[in-house]
Amino acid sequence: MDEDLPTEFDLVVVGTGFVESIVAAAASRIGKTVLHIDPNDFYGGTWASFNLDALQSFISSIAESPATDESKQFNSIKNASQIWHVTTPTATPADDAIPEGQEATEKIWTKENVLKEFRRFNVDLSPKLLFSCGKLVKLLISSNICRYAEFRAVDHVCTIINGQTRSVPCSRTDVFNTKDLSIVEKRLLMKLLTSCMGYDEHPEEFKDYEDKTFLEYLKSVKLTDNIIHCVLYSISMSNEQTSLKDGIDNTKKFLNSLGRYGNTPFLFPMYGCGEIPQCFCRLCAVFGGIYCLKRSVSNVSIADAKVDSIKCGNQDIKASNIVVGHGNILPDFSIPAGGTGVGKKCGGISRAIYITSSPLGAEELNSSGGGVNFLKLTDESGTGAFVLQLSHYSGTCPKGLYLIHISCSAKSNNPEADIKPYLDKLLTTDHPPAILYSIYFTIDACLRCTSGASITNDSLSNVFVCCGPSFELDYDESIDNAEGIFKKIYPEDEFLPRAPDPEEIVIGDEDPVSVADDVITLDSVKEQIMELEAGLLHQEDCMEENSRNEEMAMEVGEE
Amino acid sequence: MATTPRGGGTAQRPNGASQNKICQFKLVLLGESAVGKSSLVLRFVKGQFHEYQESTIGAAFLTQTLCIDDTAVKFEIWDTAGQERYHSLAPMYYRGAQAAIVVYDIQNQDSFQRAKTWVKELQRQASPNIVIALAGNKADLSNSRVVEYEEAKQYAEENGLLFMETSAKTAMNVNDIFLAIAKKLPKNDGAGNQGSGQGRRLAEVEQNRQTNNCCK
Amino acid sequence: MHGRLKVRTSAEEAARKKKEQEIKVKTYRAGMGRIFEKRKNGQLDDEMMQITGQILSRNPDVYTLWNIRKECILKMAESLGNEAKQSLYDKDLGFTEQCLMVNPKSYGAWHHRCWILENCPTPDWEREVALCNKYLKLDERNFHCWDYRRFVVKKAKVPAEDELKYCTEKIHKNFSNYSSWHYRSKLLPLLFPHETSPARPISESKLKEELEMVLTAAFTDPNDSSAWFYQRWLLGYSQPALDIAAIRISKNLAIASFSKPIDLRTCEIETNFGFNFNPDRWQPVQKGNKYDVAWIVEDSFELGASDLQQYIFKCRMSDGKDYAINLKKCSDGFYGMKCPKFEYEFGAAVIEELKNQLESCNQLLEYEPDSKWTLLTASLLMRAIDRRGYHTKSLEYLQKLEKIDYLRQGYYADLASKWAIEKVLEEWIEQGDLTVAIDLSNLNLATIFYEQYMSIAKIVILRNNCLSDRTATKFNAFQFCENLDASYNQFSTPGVIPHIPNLKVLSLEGNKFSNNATTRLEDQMKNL
Repeated sequence: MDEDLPTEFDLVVVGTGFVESIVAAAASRIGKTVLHIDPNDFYGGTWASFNLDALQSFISSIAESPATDESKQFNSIKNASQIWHVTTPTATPADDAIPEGQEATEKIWTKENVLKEFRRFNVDLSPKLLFSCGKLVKLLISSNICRYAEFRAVDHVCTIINGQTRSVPCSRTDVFNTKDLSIVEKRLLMKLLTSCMGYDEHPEEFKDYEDKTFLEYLKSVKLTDNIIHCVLYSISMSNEQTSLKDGIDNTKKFLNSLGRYGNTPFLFPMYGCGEIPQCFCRLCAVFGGIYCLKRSVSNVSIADAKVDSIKCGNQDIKASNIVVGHGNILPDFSIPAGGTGVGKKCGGISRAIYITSSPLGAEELNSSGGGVNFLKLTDESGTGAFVLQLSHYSGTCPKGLYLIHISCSAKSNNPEADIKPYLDKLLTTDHPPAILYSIYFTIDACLRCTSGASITNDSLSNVFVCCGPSFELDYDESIDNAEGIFKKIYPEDEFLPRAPDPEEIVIGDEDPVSVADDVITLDSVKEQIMELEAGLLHQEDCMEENSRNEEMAMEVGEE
Repeated sequence: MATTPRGGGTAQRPNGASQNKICQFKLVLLGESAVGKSSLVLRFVKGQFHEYQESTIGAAFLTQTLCIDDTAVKFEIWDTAGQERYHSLAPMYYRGAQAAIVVYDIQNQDSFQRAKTWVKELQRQASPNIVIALAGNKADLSNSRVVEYEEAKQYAEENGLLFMETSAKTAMNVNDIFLAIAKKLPKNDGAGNQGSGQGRRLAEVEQNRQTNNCCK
Repeated sequence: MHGRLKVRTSAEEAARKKKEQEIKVKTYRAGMGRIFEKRKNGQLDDEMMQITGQILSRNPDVYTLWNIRKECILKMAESLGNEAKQSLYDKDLGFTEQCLMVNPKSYGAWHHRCWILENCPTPDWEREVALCNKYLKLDERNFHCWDYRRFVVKKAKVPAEDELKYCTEKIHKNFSNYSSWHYRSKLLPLLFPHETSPARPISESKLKEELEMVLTAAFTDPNDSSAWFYQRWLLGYSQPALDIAAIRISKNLAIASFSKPIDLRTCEIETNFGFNFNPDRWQPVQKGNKYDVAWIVEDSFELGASDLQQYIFKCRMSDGKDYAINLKKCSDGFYGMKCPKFEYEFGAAVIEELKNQLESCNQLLEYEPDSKWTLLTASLLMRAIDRRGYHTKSLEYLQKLEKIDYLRQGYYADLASKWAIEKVLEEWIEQGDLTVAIDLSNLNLATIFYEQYMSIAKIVILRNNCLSDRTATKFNAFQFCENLDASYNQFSTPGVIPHIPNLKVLSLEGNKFSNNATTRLEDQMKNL
């Protein structure tokens, strides 16, 4: 019963991941005809969110197929495994892990009753946070796509100090309220943050440390270890090797995003990050883009060093340009050149997802059921890990359960081993989470990033490949990737100009200058206006009217 | 093409003097292609009807306000933007929706079956308190009707849905169905004030942001 | 095959805006016209409510219209039973809320709300408290709403404990909030009165907590002045308490001075030695003042008639309380003086906390030796801990502040003058000898404080300070001064030194008078 698709497009986009969806939206927005397809029956590809049922079958399908199977759609995710830590209905969830003082009436979670709630889950393959003043927030606002989605301000930025999970004071209010810092420390912290913000105006303050690390600078301004820990690891998300300049830039980025939406600088999309690509898809559709899931490209025909048409189902579809997402690259495409300006490789991420029955950290970090908490963990040498804990308030899990996401750079083909040092840190805190279920997998780099320098075939000048998720907290690199591709295809056009508000749009044969008639609603006032107009017209003839008008004018003048 | 004057139905417009609450709700339209979803919205919002309705390019949603007693109910009405045509409607579309109108064409049995699927989908996936209305559209063409009024009505009653047969062309029951939804929506404090629930929209907050920054 | 997006062109948009504006202006004018016409005809009816409502809902600051609404409601309510009346008022309550949504800081709308609640048959005060919660959640610094809150909370009989808790929550959310700190200073004295002294607003133990909290705020953001104001209040730097400062009665002149400016003509004075003062005869030392710190009567007094154990001068002031002072007899009459209360004297626990705070400040000064607010806090703390012991050090800090915080130089100079004078004055009062000079020379004084306490002194030495013309009026208080040394200051206008009746010696050399003026001054002095 499926309708046939139109057979000619300015742009065909394969894959509904974040980068692909932005390119699709941007093209559609400037009036290009866009066909946006995805071989999967869901939106988002490597950026998708799943309910628990779908997640389990997705992970199983990857775990069961051999890693070298090029034919499967998800060659971007590998090394997947999942395990339930609770099985029988009588088992209590990890007894020893439940800290004292927990409510006795707490629900006992079994595999069955977790699964019963599967629809309440929206589990992200690639969870991320948005800086309130970051690139994505700015793009969503400038393009007016922000109206499609809702966000939750992240509740706490946490850190682990001496085995205790603590909230990092980010805002002035936090600094005022925290019991973890003495008043002198409070002053020193505030002062440090202020001077970081003024880095550009007063670079002389930092002159002696230009070639040194951020840590060396922090030590030089006589900060206590407590503060150094918070600033270095949590606020600037740096490590011991980070340079002064980078440390300060990161700190500024953090601080600039404060005070906009909540008590921390971060936002998390309600119902998971999988919503974000869909928002761009909707914009694409609103401007005429055509959407079709469960369609893949089975063949391409090449002419004049370009892809001329693609075979989609049993239709041949002509396309001026083709954009292909992470995980959707067909062997036939070869690997196009067309560097998209991203220096860093995408992918290379080890992921862990835990469903837990108790949260990380004490009650004050999880008041009234918890919100969204973020924790940056470091390790001695590497880039550390992002830990995100989500409660039901984020729309991603049922009440009483928590999702903990850990992402770190992949060091091996064993994501569990990569994640373990970080998990151990969480499990050895004063309030460790009680884990019911865990998933591990690796997000691979896209084929273009993997092949790196070996990319030689630049014959297909109208095919562009999107990267997958990068190991970054926000979406900056991915947005650059999308904008780079757009600019390559449409160098003259504006990238996602503001979409009009509904009020600005003229529909049908409406008079474009018409004014909503609820400006005046009272008949007696309408009558008066008519009288007033008449009065003004016949001012000279009508003394009485005239005097009344004067009276009114006086009133207006008084105002 | 025909355009009828506005304000024909029982819907009232806000008169500024008596309402003291404004509640905003997200309402989504669902249903098979070509059952007249966009036409219903255009009839309700703009008082227009076009026999060969082009898809409304560029409008993410349209808004219209109704007055119920002392409350102004502002609907933010989302159209599918054609994404349903190849069965590819993104789930974010009905996230956080407080109301939905599931539309079928009384001349098309398939569209009625499809409507039932949408109702089921909403009951499973959308927020639990969502108000769902079922609209049997194109009621002006009742001589080619295949979906019986009684059958649809019974289905709606069994599933706790509001139900009306409508005609975007003649404006029959168009305002009424929106009004019925508006009446059924909770209008207590906090309802429909800020998006749907726990979340917040970026631009709205932008307007009344406070400077609680560390350093500035 | 695709429809095209039609967006208004900028010209169309501008035309539309203009059209909308025109209609708005027309509506406003027409509405106003209609309103005044109806008012003239006494038509205070439903339609009047609707038209005023239309205008107010767009612009809730047209005060006249709120008054018209009041007239309307009163008239419409006349014929109604209680229930119908209430619903009429309730409807208007709803309307004010709608206006508050447009402008939550509309004086008109908040006042109208007060009016409704005071006039309607069954006001629901709890609902009003909830409304305040709602609006303070939107903006915790909306002082209109805080004012309104204090009004309704009293009516709803919300316990002060609850209000304090609420207030604390708001401060924890955002401590730059004058309203909230201020409300605190009103609530704490009710909940935690001082154990013994009624003059002190709050108990020692609570004070300790509050000091801790406010210093935390001040350390977090020293640029936020709201916390500083509260700290001042806690440390007792607010207005001095009303009291008699000094009294002196001689054969032909009596002076009564007070800690604060008062209108003595409204007070009742009583003595136990047979002196009756006719209120009308009191004159302020600064001519034309309604309120003044010092008052004189020129009359002849019969001295030495009585011989009592105690001579008591009592004054019932505008607060209805009696203030008394014991007078001593001296060669030419009676006199009495009280030592002003400079700061509170704190108990051991509070002193301990203040010392900790001082320690924190000093610690911080090691990191930031030029931190102005730390210097100021430290000097205030030192005064609170041990005024005399830290006298020199606290003044040193102020001097430093004058240099590094040049913009507030005048403020620091005044504060330093105040402290310097306090020390001298306190010693002079302790001596209690009128013939001893008040020696304020060489203190860098920028101005004079406590002049009312000096009003009975015979000799005042102000030599070598920085006093200028602006302080000259203070000399008005020196009614009994015979010898005033104001040499080596910054006075420049010859006529600026006021007439002092008993003055025999006035030294003005080394000031900034022009030659011409000096000659005239010399003439003036010859006449003394």
